[in-house]
Amino acid sequence: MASALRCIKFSYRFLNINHGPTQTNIISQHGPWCVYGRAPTHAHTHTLTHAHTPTRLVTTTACWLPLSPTHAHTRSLDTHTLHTHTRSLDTHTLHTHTRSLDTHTHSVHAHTRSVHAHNRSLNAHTRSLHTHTRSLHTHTRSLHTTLPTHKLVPFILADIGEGIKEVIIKEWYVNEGDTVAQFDSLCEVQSDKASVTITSRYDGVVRNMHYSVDDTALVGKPLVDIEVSKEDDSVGEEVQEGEAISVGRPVEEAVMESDTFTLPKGKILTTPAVRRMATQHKIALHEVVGSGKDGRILKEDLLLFLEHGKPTTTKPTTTTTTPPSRVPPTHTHTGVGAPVGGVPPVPPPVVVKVLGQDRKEVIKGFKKAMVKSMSLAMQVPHFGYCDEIDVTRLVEVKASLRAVGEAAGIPRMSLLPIFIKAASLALTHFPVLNASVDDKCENITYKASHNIGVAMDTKDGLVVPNIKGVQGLSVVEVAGELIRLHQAGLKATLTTHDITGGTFTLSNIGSIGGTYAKPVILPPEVAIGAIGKIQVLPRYDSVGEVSKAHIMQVSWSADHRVIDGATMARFSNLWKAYIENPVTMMMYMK
Amino acid sequence: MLSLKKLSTNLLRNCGPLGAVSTSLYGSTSQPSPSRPRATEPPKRVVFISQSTDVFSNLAFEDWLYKNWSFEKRSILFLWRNSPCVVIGRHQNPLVEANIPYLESAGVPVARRGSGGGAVYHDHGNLNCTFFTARERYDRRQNLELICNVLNHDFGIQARANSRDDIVVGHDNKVSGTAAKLGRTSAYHHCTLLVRTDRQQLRLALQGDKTIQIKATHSVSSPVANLGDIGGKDMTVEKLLASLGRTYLTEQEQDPRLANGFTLVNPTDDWFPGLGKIEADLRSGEWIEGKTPRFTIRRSVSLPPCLAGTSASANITVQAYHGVVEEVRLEDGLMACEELTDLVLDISTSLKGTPYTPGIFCDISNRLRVPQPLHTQRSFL
Repeated sequence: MASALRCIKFSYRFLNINHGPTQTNIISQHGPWCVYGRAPTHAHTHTLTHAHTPTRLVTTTACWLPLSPTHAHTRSLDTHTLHTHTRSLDTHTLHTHTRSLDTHTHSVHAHTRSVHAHNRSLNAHTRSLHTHTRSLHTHTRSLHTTLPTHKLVPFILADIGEGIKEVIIKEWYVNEGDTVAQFDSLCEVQSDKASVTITSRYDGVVRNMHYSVDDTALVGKPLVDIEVSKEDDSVGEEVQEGEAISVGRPVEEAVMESDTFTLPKGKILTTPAVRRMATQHKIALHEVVGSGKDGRILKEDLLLFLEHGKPTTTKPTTTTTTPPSRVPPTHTHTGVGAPVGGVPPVPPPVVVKVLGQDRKEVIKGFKKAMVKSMSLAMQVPHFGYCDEIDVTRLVEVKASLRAVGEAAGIPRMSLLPIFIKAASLALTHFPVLNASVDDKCENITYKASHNIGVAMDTKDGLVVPNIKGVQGLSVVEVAGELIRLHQAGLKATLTTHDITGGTFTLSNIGSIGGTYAKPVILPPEVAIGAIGKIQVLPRYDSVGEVSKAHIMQVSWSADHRVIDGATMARFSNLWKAYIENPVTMMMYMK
Repeated sequence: MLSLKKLSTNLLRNCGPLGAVSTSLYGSTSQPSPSRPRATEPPKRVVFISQSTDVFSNLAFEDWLYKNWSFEKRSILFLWRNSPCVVIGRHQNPLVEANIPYLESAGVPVARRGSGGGAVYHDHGNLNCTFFTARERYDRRQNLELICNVLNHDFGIQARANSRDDIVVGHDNKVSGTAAKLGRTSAYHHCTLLVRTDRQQLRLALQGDKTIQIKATHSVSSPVANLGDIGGKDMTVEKLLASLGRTYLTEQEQDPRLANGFTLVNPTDDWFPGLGKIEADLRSGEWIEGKTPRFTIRRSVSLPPCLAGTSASANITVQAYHGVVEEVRLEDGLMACEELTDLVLDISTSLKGTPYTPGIFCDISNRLRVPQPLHTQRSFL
């Protein structure tokens, strides 16, 4: 016993142990380490308490018995603890025991909303428990192990619809402790005149009914907590379990921990899996910004951190030195307007991991939607028409364009709004290009409004919001809309209204690079244009002399079922005329 | 909130691939969508007309459809009429909503339906419509607009749906009340339409006992009008029924020949297995009285001389839950003599668990009169 006590003390050398009264052993908080109080030979209940919060939890070590809970919600934890620690300690499988602690602390986390730091410390504490329980080896011979199986999931009251924010609970069909299956009725709520039956989303046991009959329940808040079995993967997205801690290798893990683990400066919320990943990659967790609930560090945050190589507190918005792949085409200061002439391409400062072996991934979500949309698009017979535009005159007046833009509240005005407005002016003469065909190409609708879509490259890939009614907007207004859509795209707040209803699309791929392209039409539109980058090239001018010209390529694609080459060519010529000679555009501006 | 996956699938169907791309990229849209997007393939529409005028059979059929039918491919309009009855909402108190003594004496049944909302009086001049759809397609306004369109076009009545989802004509005279029930996969919205209802009977039937304190749903009473009075002599329930059914079927520009048309249904257990059980449940006291939320009634009971102290009567409160007495309390207990307090406590114990009836105060009054020794015997019965 004495040796056991010494072992405990040894592993807690970083910490203060308060040998206060048994019931409330204080745990000092130096980051992730927690202290257990007394040695296990005392057959009294043992509690983990945080120095700052009075919540009690029950430990899971050998012969300790659960304390009768002071909080109603720790009651359920009791049975688990008792369950686990009477069964989970075996000489050979101490680590599954600690894993049970992990689970409990996770479930408690879900439970006790206010005691995050406490629970977090318990999460991390599983590692300390390795050494701890190893030392208790001799005391736990008689107990067996089972894997822990439960976690507590809050069942959120889903939106009833019709903008209803709160409902009255009229009747409960279950009681606390009842076992429910998925789709079993839980309760009946009433909103205005609708009586709604709420059914369970999970299989499990009902715990914690947050409302009683005739209470007002809020939509979006938990209605009940359901204790589900851990094997249910679809449950509890905020609680991420680590991989199984390997059995029988406590020494290495402990050593690894003490070598590489730095005591963080503040409280850091993560899961054990993330911590392990952090140590593997030698990341100091306090430098990583957590994006999970309550600032929790998720795996994605670590990956992001690895990519950028240094801590970032804000998302990169518009910086001049970001790699090309990050700059959306609408920001032309790095794209259109930047002369090329011999400047080598800037390699992106992304740490590219070389794939050691083939990696297979299921295409789902966004990628799948892209696959679907492009497959649909390829059923349309495209034809291409390309041309070269001399934008020298526009580039010459770019400075004054910028000035007027600034005065109107548009920072860094680019040429793209002008291209968009010119396209709209040309579309008034060629309404067939602003049309829409149905699936079977039986009807063509000539759209009145020019909703010109602008392809944007965001960190998640391609998205095409559109500017509505360009025929009625001035260039400044178009520029303002562009900026708004770009900002929304960066913040991922684009609405369905922004995304849908487009009639014509322009893609400014030149801001990234390239000259000629072969863009793919976005159904149900019938035409699309891709604008290349502006290059300074030698051209013959009107007097036969070679001079510097700013040349930009444009590549149009159109649906050959309804558009013919001549129409496209004439449209392109008209657009070209507007762009090459801005005065013409001004004269014909509507 | 629709799960993200469901929202994306819906948008994929309706707004094309890009809609879905954006949604899956950016999560659910920033503003809550007030109505869910319609599927590109509108479900076929069917009209059922009930052959029965028994309120319990019809309500049972409604419930049967709701539980047993899948509305993915078909939406249903169920049109039904009842002989005189009162139908109260799921969470209402029949005593508060309906004049139970009068109805009992007149032999008019009181039924409790499965949807929320208030109490209504049905008779042969009233048409009930129930719109069954899949959960995602639930849209009350759309249904009410269909009815208003029918009234406007076919009968020349300027009707509109107000903010409480009642259909009103003229100066806010109510001609229809609405209620709904939503489940996991199916939903229904039903409403009444007063064509030639006996308004006097309606008023008498719905005069409940307002002295009862409850947390249950209160009915909001409004002045009512008959459509038949406004639409002219030749407006009948049958004509309205035909118009509604026809409009419902042809509204989505489907070829009417493709629509399944009108179907007459006879809501019996032979045709719809399981209906009998639902009907029996609906008739049972367990459902009608047993679903009453907690309520309390306070009455003044006259005391016999031996118990009367400063006043000749006492305020007794009876509290009942789910139709069963929970507690009998003496209000202003401090003023009463000890005998009275004890007596009331004994009465409470003996009456606890018994079904609540309106005659309970008589019973209490009688018990108070019984001399002490006999009473104590009774309390253990």
